[in-house]
Amino acid sequence: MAAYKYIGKRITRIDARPKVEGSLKYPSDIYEKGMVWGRVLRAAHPHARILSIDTSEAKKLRGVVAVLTHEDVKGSNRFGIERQDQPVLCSDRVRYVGDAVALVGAQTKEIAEKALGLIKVEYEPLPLVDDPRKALEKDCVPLHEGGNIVHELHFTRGEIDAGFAKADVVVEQTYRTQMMDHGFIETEAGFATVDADGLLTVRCGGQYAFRDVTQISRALDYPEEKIRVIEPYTGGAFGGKDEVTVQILLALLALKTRRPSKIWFSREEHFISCTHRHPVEIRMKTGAMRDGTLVAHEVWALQDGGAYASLSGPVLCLVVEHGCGPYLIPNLKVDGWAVYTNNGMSGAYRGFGATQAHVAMESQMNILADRLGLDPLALRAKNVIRQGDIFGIGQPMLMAFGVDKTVEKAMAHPLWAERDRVKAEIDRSRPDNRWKKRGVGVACCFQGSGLGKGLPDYAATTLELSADGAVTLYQGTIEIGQGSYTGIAQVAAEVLDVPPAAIRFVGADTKLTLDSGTTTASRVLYAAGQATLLAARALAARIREVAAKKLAVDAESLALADGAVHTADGSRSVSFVEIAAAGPLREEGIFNIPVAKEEFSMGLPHLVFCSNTQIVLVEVDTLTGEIAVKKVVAIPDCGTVINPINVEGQSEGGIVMGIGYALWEENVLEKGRFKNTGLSTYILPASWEVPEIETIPVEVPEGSGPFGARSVAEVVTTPTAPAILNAVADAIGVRFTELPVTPEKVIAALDKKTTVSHRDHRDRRERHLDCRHGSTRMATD
Amino acid sequence: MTITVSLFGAYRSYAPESEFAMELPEGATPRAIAERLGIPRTASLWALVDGRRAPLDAVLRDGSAVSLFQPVGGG
Repeated sequence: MAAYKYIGKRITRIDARPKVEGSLKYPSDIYEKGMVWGRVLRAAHPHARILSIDTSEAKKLRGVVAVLTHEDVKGSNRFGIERQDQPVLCSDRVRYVGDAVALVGAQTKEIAEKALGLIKVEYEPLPLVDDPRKALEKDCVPLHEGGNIVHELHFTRGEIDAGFAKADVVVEQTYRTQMMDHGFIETEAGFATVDADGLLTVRCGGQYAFRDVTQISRALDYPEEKIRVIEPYTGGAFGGKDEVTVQILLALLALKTRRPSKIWFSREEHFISCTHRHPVEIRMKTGAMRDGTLVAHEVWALQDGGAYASLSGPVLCLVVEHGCGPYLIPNLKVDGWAVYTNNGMSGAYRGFGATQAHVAMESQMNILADRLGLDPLALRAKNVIRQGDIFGIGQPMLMAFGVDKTVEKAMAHPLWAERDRVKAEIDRSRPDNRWKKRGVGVACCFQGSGLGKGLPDYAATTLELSADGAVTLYQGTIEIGQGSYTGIAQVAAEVLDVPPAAIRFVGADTKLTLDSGTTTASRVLYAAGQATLLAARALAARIREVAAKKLAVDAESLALADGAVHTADGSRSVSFVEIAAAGPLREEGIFNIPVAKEEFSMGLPHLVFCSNTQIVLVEVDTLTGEIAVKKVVAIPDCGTVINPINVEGQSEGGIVMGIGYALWEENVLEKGRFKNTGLSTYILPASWEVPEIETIPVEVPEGSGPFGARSVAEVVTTPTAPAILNAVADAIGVRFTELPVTPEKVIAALDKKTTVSHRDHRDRRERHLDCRHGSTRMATD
Repeated sequence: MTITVSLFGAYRSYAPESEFAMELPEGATPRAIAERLGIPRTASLWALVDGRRAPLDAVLRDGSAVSLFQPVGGG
């Protein structure tokens, strides 16, 4: 690999200092004198007809500035990324408990909250659709015009029956994954102003400022050219801020009151109103020959999208595309449905359907390995996709892809190669280890980068050599905590030979930056990074041209270094300040993500993929049912690593998210109502539950990415949950097929498995749980 | 002048092919292409010109490539 000055180096994030010092303002940090606090009245029922809305009492409350309903919305009053089926403020019907019915603006948050209680809404409850299977039935009440199916996909490849006829072993199993919260630190927040010329400015957390402009304009019938959205720094998103959250409500409040307006959702409001990871029921039937060769695979998936479409359709596309894992299977049949229900809202979430698909597929692989008497990683090594293969629903793997290398590396890692020794290393002399059993599990995954075929997928960067000799980088994607601005700055820094920290970074502002696409889909470093590389090369060429005239030499002979241009012999130079003296130099870089020739559905297939293999060590306490993840080895394949700190950070965060998914996290709904709406009852992993994590990237450079980089954002989390399931099966011989695997489920399964009475164990267990957790932590388990 | 037009998503149904050449007078814009194809004038219509997001009233040059699409998303 070429020797680089900044690429591949452990460079501290360019935004680390202002974030640590607190000087960087997140959207929720913005306050202004005279501002209006906005609060939203949510639906009282998961499905009901609105008979009347009476705001008169609320309007009389001292300190209330505005009480707005659907009658105050002049545009379509609808939003939604894929289809606009969600009301900004409901007029005649509510479809989930998070539906917005009225918006109050008041001098304080407390007054706004009080006013919400004075709004009288008369409802007529309608039949509840809280089961996705019920939603599929023909006589089920339709939640939207056109019925309850948001999207369905059906693919076949090869001869499925003939494929299964060839199989020596067939494994058939149903898996259920749960609704999961994004768990970001900053709940949805923003601030809006309207100036004397009618320019509406919305500063908020989000994942695509340019599309937010369109969503605001469409819903409120306000001209796009009079809307500016600024959202460079967002306090976590993971897909949860891809859909509109506060944007349109903020805009409405600011336009109606003509005062600075602030909305910041409470944690409870976030839980009930915003999108989550889709619960999916997946039935898989997989056939393999005696030597482990996979020959046939059938997938049936039913995805609960909740009340409105958001991105349910595209998520289903990825369930289907990733339904056979990163493996070659010649005969395939996939059927998938996404349906509307009254169960909250689901949408984009890191992994975007691939996560749910891999929970099932990677469990299938271990069950098959067990039935065939094969090493689980050897079974994977035999079947993984390699560059050049035709795979999945029928697309070729044309670009760089290294899942085979991640598997090879995993096989050689001591946690796998010496797993029997590792499992035996448990100190039995310690009383609290007496009931513990260790297991080692593994899982692989892959994930498309970008939006897939059928959607323009572009990125654009503007680079400027400013009059003061500094480099300014304008980039329209968003820093949501992933470190992408640092990686992008490193790309520019490498070409222009200026330290990344010296680059002024202007992020996501629809009036200053070019549209660079969504901050989703494992695409930012790859796409925006490549656009930056092109811009940097163009700017470097311009700088050389200007310097060549000043130095009267050939531009090609000049070298950029440390904020100046130097002649080949180093005897003469001209500084960037002198070069920009006559005016700033600006260059753009435009990159369009390459797409497949074939198209199976909008967004399908992808052409560029990343992958990851993880090995997990768990300890299962057979007395209490608790599962502790002790160690995770992650081997991501993301092309050239631009910044090892960022890759390790993404990997560690993704693994913790995967642990929560596997063991604790679940949005529990009962009859369409959320039961756990706070962080005391929705159980996120805590710091003491984070295991030792080792991240060992495999670098398979991709020619179309910046310096060979792809992206790493989603593959880091996908294998963790199935690897944990496989490790638990290894530890106690019980195969769990439903997430999360709570202590209750473990104990119930062990009780079912053994014929020996566990009464004594239960007594001891209860005492043990009382003293270790207290009642709160166990409340939702 | 000759413009290469690509249609995505819901707009594909407005022409027999998803990518084709269109002859247009000087000064034509992405909006003019949409109007000629009968694509309704809504906020859901976005355009790329030569791979770069552009306003619907951007003036095109001979040989430009124009994509018309809806601002949806995916993963």
